[in-house]
Amino acid sequence: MSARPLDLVVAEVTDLVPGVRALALAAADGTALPSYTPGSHLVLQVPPGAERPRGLANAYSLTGDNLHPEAYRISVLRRDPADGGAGGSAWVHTLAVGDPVTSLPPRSAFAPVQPARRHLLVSAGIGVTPLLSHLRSHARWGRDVEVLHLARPGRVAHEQDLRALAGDAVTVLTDRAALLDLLAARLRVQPVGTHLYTCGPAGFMDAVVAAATTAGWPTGRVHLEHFGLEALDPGEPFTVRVDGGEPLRVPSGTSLLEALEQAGHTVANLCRQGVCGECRLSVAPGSTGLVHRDLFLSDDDKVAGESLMACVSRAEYLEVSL
Amino acid sequence: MSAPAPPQWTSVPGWTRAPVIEDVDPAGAAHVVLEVVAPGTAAVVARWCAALDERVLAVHRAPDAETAAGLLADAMAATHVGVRLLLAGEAEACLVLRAAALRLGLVEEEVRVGVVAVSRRRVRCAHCAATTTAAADLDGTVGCVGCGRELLVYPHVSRLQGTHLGFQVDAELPDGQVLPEVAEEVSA
Repeated sequence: MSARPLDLVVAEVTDLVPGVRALALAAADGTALPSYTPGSHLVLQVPPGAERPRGLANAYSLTGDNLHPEAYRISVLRRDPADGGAGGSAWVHTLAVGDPVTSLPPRSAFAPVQPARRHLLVSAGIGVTPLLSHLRSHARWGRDVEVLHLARPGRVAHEQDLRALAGDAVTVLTDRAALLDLLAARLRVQPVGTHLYTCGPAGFMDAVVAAATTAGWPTGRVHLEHFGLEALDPGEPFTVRVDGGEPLRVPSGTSLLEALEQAGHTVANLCRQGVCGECRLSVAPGSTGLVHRDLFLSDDDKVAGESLMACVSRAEYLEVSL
Repeated sequence: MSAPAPPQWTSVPGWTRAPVIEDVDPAGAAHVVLEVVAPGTAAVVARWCAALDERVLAVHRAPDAETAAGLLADAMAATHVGVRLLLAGEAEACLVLRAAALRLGLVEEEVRVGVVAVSRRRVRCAHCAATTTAAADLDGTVGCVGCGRELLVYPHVSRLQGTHLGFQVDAELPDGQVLPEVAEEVSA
């Protein structure tokens, strides 16, 4: 099911604004890299290290041109472990030109809608990254776009790229309330057939979705790219039985995925933060109190209660098959 | 007609098999009503307008789907995202107008229908590309107005044309042979 990893090498390192570093990753053997759908991301394999007892799989949006890329370009905001980061972005910031990097091939979960009449891109902070590859594609094909971007003063990563790609169609603001006011007004004057794409912190995207809903936009026109879930509560302890075997305790603060792995089970997984869908498990009848905390399953899937994401979701009592 | 559709009929809306009057979408910022006049459509429009009150942007009436499609294009060019489209008419007109709406960039969530009759269908001939409008059942046959072939009304609807796929019912039989009589299959 999983694609074969790519062996890459760091070809360029550029500091864009304080805390944000751009990397170009080329194929280690110098061969051509696969093209990708705009809005795709790489999943870098972060090896275990000093502050990381286990390896991580971190997703970073591709910011470059999606057709025949000479390198995969990512821009990474450093989140220090002291500030709650898991250590993946701090590791990326230690990389130098020539260092090897292993990554899964580009994956797409945030593609532009082809028949859209117009594309409204709304981002905050480092959330600009997946929209850059959208914008490069739109510029290539001459599509109608509008960009609203929120960033901290003096820390507007990729501002020149935005202006070069979309010119007057770009508005960069540094005040959140002002951006949301402008968004509310702009949402009411978009021609029929416009699609909205947003990426940024969860709270920001919630505000964008709320504004769109208020303006009468149906969910099919609103497209989100999540960074991943922000801090989840540790949850209540519960019991899980795997394939009718011995009951297994999942303590508070330990994920179902971690508990299964500690008990010697192998569960396919990738992002470990409720986004990618790799660790989906089938839930057997008799399970109670499912708490879905992922961003992968649809609302209908969650109500059906026939599967759950082992990395973030919990239950009162759970029976699963692996 | 009220039997459940076979699962492979994924492109055939239920409202082309039995009349359905859908409710308005309260989440819409504004609503455009398009009526292709047929017995019963006036009551449907009245019901929608009563539910929506001042959120109705416009009510357009047309004698046929082609005229209505022109009105639809003008109406959509004059409004913005947030609008909902309400289509009242026979299923064949609603299918054609839904297709026109999708081509204009609307998504299916933005279109609701009030279907007053389902007997007539539009069938596009796979051989000569002519479209025949006639009373026809799914899996029944209809004579093509373009090439005269007897077309099977295949249970597939084109989203962007609003027509059923039709192809020669005995196309795979050698010349001169006729299709054997088959006992009417009782649908589950």
